[in-house]
Amino acid sequence: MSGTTTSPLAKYKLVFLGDQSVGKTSIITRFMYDKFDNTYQATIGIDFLSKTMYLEDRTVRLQLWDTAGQERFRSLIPSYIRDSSVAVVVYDITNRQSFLNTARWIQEVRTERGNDVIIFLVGNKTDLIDKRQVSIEEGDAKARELNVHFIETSAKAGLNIKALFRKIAASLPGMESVTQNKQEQMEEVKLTTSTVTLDAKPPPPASTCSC
Amino acid sequence: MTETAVLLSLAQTYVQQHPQRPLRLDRHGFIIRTPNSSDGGGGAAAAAAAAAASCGANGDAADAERAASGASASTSGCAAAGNAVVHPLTGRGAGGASKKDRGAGPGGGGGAGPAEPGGLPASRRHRRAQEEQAVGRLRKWRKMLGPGGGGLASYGRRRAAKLKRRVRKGIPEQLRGLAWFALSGGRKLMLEHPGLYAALSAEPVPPAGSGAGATGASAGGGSDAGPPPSSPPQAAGAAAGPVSQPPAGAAPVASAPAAPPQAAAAAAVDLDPDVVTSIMRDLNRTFPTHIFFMDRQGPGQRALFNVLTAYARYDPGVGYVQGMGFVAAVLLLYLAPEEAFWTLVAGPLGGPGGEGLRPLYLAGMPGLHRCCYQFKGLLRDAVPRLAARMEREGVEPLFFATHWFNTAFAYSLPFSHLLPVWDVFLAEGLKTVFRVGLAVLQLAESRLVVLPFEALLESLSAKNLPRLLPADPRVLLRRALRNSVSERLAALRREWEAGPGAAKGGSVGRGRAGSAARGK
Repeated sequence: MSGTTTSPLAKYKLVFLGDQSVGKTSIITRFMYDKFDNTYQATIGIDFLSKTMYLEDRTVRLQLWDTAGQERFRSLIPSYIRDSSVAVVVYDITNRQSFLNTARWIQEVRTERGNDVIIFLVGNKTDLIDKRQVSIEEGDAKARELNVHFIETSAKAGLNIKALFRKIAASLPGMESVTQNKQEQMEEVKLTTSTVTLDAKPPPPASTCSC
Repeated sequence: MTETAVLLSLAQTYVQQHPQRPLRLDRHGFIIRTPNSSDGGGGAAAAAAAAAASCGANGDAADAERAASGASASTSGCAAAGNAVVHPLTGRGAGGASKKDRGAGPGGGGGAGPAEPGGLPASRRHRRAQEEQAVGRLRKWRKMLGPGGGGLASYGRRRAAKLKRRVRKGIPEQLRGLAWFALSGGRKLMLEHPGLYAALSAEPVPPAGSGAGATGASAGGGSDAGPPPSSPPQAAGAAAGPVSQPPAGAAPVASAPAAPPQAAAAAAVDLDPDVVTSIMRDLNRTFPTHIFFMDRQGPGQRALFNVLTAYARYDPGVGYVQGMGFVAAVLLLYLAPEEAFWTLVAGPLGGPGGEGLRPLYLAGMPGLHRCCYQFKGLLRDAVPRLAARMEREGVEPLFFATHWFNTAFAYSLPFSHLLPVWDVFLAEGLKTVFRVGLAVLQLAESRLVVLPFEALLESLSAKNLPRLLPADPRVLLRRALRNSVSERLAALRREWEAGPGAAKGGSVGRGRAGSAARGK
């Protein structure tokens, strides 16, 4: 899809999945504009945004695909997942069902993309401490079980959103020019991220994303 | 309480809650965000709201242009906030405690804006001509509609072409609700099923507000929302108001939807809690910046909840699908809940000749996939350069047009453009969405055809779509109506059903709303 562009930027497609109103749009909006407000419209079908991310050693272009969460839209999802490099599967830590459903979302991604995709499991809404229904340990365990990355965020408080996207960027396959053993690279990524996960593990509200 | 009073009380509540943020509404009732509002606090806001109430009834297409051209931006209160009142909430007028008044126009009828801010002489002359035209149009529509809209059906039978032409010229704002109600066939259905809405809706039909304390939002997921099995017919009568007075039996112009399900039986069925949850999750995400829908406990969200739950009971095969809320919400800005419900059933979902949105909402969304396929075909014919560009860049209609179809543009067109489009949509059905979609792309083709993948998709996103539109909604509609699509649509449909559609059909399981556990 980027064949005709002249830009040398490496482009990556990120697709955001997860149940209705778990905060997919909020996470994206926090990342894009560093803001949160209470007047989001429900996402119908798909929304598309893009942003350039400047990393220490390189610059990448992220194409963010925000999707409708309702089950009824499932038949559209394969078209949206196609060609994605990263799938961000979001659940709401105050909504156990949305957590349970992540297995199906992840399955959906695997079916469409096999192992050519990096998957992040994201527990959102950590600001709602007293409504929590899914512990961070559960989230972490599930991520390990399904062999995906894991992080908890609060789009509202701005917690861990930048960390999430830094992790995503760190896990991206190298720029096209860099030839590298893919398997090796995946291992490496997993190592890095698990340390990040540990860092991020005690997320008391105080540990506001330092970036 | 009149609708204007409702609006005013909403505005005042808002002002009390946000004393530092003055409330400014556009002419359709959406809050205008002023990043750092420099003008005064609550007082100014209240004044603006009051001005809104007083400068009533000048809502026609002419205003849209002025607003779009920024002429009203410099004028205070009345121009900006004022027009809002006429529109969504009233549509039926300040003095109109009785809905009968809709037939006679809102409060001041055709008396256009006494408090109208002065303009340049030339523009004033132009404006005068437009006012006269608007008054004439209003008179014709009133005559066509007859009392309670009961005359439209027979008019449509006698002079179908003329009615069609008049709809395409735009329904006068003051009569829009009534006209939609009659045109869509919603009125006919309502008369045929007295009391059914009351039985289907989660709570007794709201007005008169006696015991309506149980709001939709607090209805606790509908577990306690079992429909009153034998709700008193008066309840329905009250909601129907004058609409049920006029001679019954006049058939509306549009035919009733193909599949009104086993309605009476459905009334007894209680809803799947997942459906209720799904509806509730979207209530405050449906036009959240509109004064009518912004408040969690407000009348707008309550009405929306009632209409959507009623529909889910009425048509369990569809239940609730994201997007329906926007469709219902537009109707609720012009109609009482019961009328909006039946208009939803007959119009957007049923559609004239069964050409409505319902197939788009079924499990697997077969209608949506078909529409996107058809649209792609139309695009190749009508805008070949852009179509080729899109295909080369990998931009599929599914990536940008899902909500065009799914909400008949309610999600992404600004109201100034949406309303005239919906006049035609409710009279002529789903093909209108194709025509308008094509027109949007035709009018923006030169800008779009040079864009690469990302910019192309971003330009077409719901947020950015308004920037692609011509300022004058009539330009859009005129372009849309020049696209003749019916034959091609039928051919593409056959193609789809024989080919890709056949492969897709029924492969997807029954949809259920995602979650049972509901964060309160």
